[in-house]
Amino acid sequence: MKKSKRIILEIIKSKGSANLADIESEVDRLKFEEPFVFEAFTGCSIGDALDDMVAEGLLEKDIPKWGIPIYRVKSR
Amino acid sequence: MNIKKIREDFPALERERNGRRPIYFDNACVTLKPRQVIMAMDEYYENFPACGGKGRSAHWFSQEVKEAAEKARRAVKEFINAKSSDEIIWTKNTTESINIIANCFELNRGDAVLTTDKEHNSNLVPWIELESRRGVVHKIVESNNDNTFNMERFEEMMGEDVKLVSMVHTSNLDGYTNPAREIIKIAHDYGAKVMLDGAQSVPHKEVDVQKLDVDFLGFSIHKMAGPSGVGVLYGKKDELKKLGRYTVGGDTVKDTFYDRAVFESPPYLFEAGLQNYAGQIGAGAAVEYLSKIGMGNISKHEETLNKFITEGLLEHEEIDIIGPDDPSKRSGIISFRMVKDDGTSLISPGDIARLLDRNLNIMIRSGDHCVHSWFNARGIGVSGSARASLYIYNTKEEGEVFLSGIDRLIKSLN
Ligand SMILES: Cc1ncc(COP(=O)(O)O)c(C=O)c1O
Repeated sequence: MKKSKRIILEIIKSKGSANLADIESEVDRLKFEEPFVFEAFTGCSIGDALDDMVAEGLLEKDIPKWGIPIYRVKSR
Repeated sequence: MNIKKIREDFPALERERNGRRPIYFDNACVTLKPRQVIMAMDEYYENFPACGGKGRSAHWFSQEVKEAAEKARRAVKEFINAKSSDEIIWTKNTTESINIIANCFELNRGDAVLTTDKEHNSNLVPWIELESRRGVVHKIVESNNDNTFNMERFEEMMGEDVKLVSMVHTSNLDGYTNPAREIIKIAHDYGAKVMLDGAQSVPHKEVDVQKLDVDFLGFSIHKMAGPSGVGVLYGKKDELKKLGRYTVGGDTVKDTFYDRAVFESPPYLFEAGLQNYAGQIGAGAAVEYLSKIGMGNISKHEETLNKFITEGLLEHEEIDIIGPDDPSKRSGIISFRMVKDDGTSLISPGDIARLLDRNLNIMIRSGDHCVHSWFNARGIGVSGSARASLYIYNTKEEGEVFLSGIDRLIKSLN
């Protein structure tokens, strides 16, 4: 699995569930603390990565009509 | 200014999706095109789709191309009040206009170029490149806390080492317009030349190059009701003559021998190869279209709409607008974040953009708007901001729909 996806998975796991803003803020926080996070997310679209991860069966996505999509790690 | 009539000129506004019209608020990126521009370009393709250029064919169609393209150049010259059409160089876009200056303006090791901390990548990366390749020093004037220009800091940083000041005129990040006339006067006092990035000023307000006394100005026609793939580099005639060469080949020369070339003068020296004639003709039609409406009317309209939308947004304590609070200082741009008390993002700008698009056909931009450096310096490079940017055809009713969408987004969190 790509490093960026692994980090996203960990962020969501640690929070229970997360929306895009939660994940972006966490990556923003880690980006300048951890060089590997910086590297993993340079030029990476988190939104696209999340869509991929939903398609790959790693995440569940709740989409209320006017609500913000929420992501959870899919239980296996 | 009759907005209803103006809207009828833009065929894209007649489209529908899910029973709703589009609300186009992404004008800082690219504006929609009126029929007058589309027709001018069609005329080229339908009636005289041949080559132009000084030393090329002399036949009927070719003559018409040359006449139409030079008429367009004159229209652009009038639009920014240049002294001569020879001061107008056709480029691909603002990025290319800036790159011509970065590559052709004489800068030696140790010479300094000064920019602000709010530059679009197009007016940042060329200088980073020159710094690493040629030892040119790139200095950055930090803005005030409210993102306005810090004149004192600028004056402190000016010195004889500064040969060029290259600055955004109106920022695509927050819509704030730098006090260009004053900046140019100070730069000239130190013997420096000034390049203005006019990508967001020329389409929205009256920009008079003689009044500003600016040395170089770049802008993109696709941000001002014209076709994509066309830009302009204005330069004072004497300054253009001093520039080195850029891309060379056909049309940049008067004559060649196996071992040498006799080069053209500007503007042709910088217009290598067959040109985007339809685009240039469309550019002429675009500036004529805007001139008829009046640039003063356009900026007033955007300011009124910006005020309406800003007031609505600020009713929500979650909204944080980038740049000065006063909408009259942000032209037609409203760049905002939805934040928690600790300043971290509450709703991702990407989600705001997607939900407004999906539910209300409102098109805005989200991300770093090619000003990554500004966001990264504040630790929000991944989150970025949402940006609504307005133009002549946007209405108060559209603003109301936008505000209702923001309202619903915020309510959906509770
Ligand atoms: C302020 C500013 N400068 C430069 C550019 C680059 O313009 P272009 O992509 O047309 O070259 C833009 C585009 O958004 C801009 O807003």
